[in-house]
Amino acid sequence: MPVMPRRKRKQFYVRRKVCRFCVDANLPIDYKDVNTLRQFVTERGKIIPRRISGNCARHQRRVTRAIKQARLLALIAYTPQVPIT
Amino acid sequence: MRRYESVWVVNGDLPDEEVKSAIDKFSTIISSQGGTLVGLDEWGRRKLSYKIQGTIRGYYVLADFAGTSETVKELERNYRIDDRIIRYLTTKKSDKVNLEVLQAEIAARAKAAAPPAEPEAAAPVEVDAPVEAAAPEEPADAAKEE
Repeated sequence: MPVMPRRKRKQFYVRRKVCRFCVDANLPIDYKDVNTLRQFVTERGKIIPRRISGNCARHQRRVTRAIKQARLLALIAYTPQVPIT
Repeated sequence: MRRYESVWVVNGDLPDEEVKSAIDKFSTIISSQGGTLVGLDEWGRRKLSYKIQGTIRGYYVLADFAGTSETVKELERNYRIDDRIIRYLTTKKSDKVNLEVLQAEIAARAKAAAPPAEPEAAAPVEVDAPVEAAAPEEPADAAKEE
């Protein structure tokens, strides 16, 4: 336990996110696997940042690459068809 | 030789014959340019996530093959020439290819694709046998328990 400063501070309990690709080494990252990739893009088709997804740097790079490849092949959209207002 | 994977998307509005000829054309290119086709996987017609050249449907084909950089170069050159191809993507899967492993994989693929009729014929025979075998055993067990 770290030594806390005297003055009381509001404490945050941040649950440490673990990279799920590190936990399960068999989980493939592939541009063909659309369902997995969908979990890493927002409704607007943006790639979810590492800060939120919890991926490690190495796997985030691979996910990003796979998403971009899938977009090129029109497997995932760059942006939603009907704009969300 | 390296192991590659290439996906190409044929315009889905074209008639089946056109699509088929496009598939044949590109698999032939792979084989004729010093490549070895391991497997051809047709995903079929899929809805595209966005419009490409005015169409919303595409016929996806995935080719798994071993070849050289020349094979890929020629393949991609032809993708660009052919109007029927709306998208393509070639990725390298591994730098080295073991020919024996490759042959084994081709054989395994052929086996998996070829005999869908065989298990059907074999199944009823297997079903009959265990029933007969199981029947005499049960009384024997019961007798032991008594």
